[in-house]
Amino acid sequence: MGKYIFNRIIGLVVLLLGITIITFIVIHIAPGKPTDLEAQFNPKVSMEAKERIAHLYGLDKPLYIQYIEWLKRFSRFDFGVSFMDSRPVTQKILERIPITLTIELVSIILILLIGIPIGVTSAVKEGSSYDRFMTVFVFIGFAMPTFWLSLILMDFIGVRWGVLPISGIKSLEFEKFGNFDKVIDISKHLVLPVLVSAFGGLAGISRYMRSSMLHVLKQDYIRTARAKGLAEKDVLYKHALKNAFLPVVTILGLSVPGLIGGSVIFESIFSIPGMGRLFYESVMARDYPVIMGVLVIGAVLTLLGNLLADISYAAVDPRIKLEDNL
Amino acid sequence: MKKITDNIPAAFKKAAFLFIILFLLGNAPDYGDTIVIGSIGEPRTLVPILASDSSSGAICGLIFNGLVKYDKDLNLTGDLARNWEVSQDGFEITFYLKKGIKWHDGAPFTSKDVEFTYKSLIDPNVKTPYSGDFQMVKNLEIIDDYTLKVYYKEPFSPGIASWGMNIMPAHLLEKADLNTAKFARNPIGTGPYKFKLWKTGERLELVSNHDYFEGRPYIDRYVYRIIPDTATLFLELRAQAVDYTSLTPIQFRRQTETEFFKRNFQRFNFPSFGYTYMGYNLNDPKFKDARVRRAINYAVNKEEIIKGVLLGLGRISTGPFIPESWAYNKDVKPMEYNPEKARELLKEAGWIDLDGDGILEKDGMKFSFTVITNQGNDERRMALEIIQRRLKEVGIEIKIKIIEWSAFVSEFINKKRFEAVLLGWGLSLDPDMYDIWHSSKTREGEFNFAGYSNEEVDRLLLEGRRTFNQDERKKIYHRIHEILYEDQPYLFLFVPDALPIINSRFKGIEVAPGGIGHNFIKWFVPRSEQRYTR
Repeated sequence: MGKYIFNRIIGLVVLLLGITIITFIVIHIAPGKPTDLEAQFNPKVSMEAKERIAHLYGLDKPLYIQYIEWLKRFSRFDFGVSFMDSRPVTQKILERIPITLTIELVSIILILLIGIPIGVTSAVKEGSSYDRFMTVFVFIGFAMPTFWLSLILMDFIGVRWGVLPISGIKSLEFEKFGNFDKVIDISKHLVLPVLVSAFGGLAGISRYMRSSMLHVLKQDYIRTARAKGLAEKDVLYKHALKNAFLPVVTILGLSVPGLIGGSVIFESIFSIPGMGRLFYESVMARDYPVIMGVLVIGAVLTLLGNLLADISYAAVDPRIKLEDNL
Repeated sequence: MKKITDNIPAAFKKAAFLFIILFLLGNAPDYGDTIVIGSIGEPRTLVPILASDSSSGAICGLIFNGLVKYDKDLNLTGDLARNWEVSQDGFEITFYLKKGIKWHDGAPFTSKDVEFTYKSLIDPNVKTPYSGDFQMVKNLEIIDDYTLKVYYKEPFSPGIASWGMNIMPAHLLEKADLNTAKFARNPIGTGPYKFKLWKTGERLELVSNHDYFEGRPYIDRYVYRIIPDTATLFLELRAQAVDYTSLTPIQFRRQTETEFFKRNFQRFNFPSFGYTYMGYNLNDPKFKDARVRRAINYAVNKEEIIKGVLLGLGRISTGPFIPESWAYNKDVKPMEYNPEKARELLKEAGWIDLDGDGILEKDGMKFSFTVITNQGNDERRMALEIIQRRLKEVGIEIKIKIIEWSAFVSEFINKKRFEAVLLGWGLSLDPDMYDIWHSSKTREGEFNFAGYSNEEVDRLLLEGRRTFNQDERKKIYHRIHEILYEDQPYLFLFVPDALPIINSRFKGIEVAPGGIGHNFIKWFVPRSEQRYTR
């Protein structure tokens, strides 16, 4: 087992190196330059000044040298500084993670709390009008464009009824609030974004849950349980549900890297300073160090996620054996 | 439009007038309240010489001052400088600084700060995009704490305006690396507002500088909210959580034409400092003949574009200057829309429809070309669609291609891989256009990408740079304006209006050729209407 993990980690490092090389090349051969500055020409910005800036960024060196320099920094866990504002990339990413993570976590919990019961009850009442209604309901959530739903909710709840703030994550007077008011203030701001994001995610979990539950309900051991004369409640919630959960847990595991990914459209609409917006703005500005930083962190998380999944599978499922000589 | 007041008897009007005067005397402007600006962009840095985006510029403009500035009528006036003198031969400019000005941390402002800012601008290790104008300076000499002399390599009149560059404090930055200085997110200036906080991706806050040398601003707090989505921004405005932002023509003409907006907001429209044009690649054989370019000018109905694209909120542009500035030649009249004349001119130039497919030909080549423009600007795309239709009527086919900005610049404009472009120029207030029109400025990455070359214009541009007297410069730029409209290297289209909207509790706003920002420190909210009082 120890040797297996060691081998896997060596493999991951090589894989990560490959990912960084490809990413680095792709973002540099994409047309455009960081020195194009803003979406408007400024005749006061001379070509000589642009060349000077490109030189200070190190962009006039051959690509492989730029990569090697990047790699040297990366080996010290230093992602360099952003071209846009010269702040350390690590700092720029770290200040964005908490808000994205919070929203994603809360909405996943909400999705589970609502989606799983919907899935289970739909499976139990398969084909009923309740089942059909729920199917339509979750698919509306899935199909509805986020930006449209958000704007409609903002217009009614925020503007017309004035119940909740429209966008942002804090009030203007936030710094003057006590701790309790601060929590209330942030929560109020997060209600709409979390609701919208959860509504869109309901379909996935509830449909997986439904089909998994249906599959389990057709198994022999369920028939046995019923034949034994167990109460229907025990059959459903003690025997069937436990087994139906397994595939859903796998799906959940896969969504871990997405926790810090964020979404551009969503974060822009609600003016949330999260990872999605950071990444989008960096791409538009060709801010190579930040783009690399975000992509590499994403890659590392995905690779680690896979490794952990493999290891825990082996630990949980006796059918999978990790040979030391693999 | 008939006003209600027209029906009120004159005597009553007089009484009302007196009453208002008395009312105003008893009510000097009140201090207090907060103005909340809504912006789609976030500043990048508050080191003014590194800031290249408009958001950074807006904030830096409140925190810092230059030696000179433009007044509301677009004339240069002193800011940190009391006045200045230009030597007879134009090689030296002497600045006399105002005394008693203090940085926000209490240190006195002196000529050392100016010298430091200049040295940073020309330091090859500083990532400033503004070194260009300062490369013309030979030397800067401090005479005493409040006097300094700038020696130029050659007379350079736009040099005066270039000293509108925000001056940075030497005592705080001398030993720092400007590129990475903490100052970028915690600046100290001399301006009407002091920096308070910056929450990345959310907002910046400034507070008024009670010791500002032009007087304490009436509005106590300035909040700059970053709301990247325009639809959200509009909802925030309607909820009155944002006090001041810019509208699009459609928002101005339709969405804010309601009772609610008229009661709670004041809207303004005046010409912005920029124009939109279709530029030709003059090295392309199709566009070498000026008659062809003039024909296109006749064939395109600019009025129609302004009506269709800007909903009337703009004006026809005939040249590359700000319409309200002294450099703009009002005698250059726009050519009328006249497709007949366009056809004649094209025929004269040898373009005839031989095969009867509706498209003109010459030497076996069809008159068909592609116009490129950048993604994310609907006005440009719509203007192109209208041009496309009008040109088709005179037998010219155009195709439209829209490209993401950064790729657009580096792959197409800089490498001159285009037939025609639809773009806009934002203009600085000094009329010097050397970088855009001089025939030497056509290398890769330079701004004369149209490839325009005219000896007289070349000569005049140089002369304009060497002349300090405004009346003489005026003649020069008026002539340049005339020649450019005659030559048509660009199809000059329109100057869009700036469309700011401000909550009506703010009083004292004054529209001038320079816009509304010039007297921002005089804006105020009567105490009874103040909203943010905590």
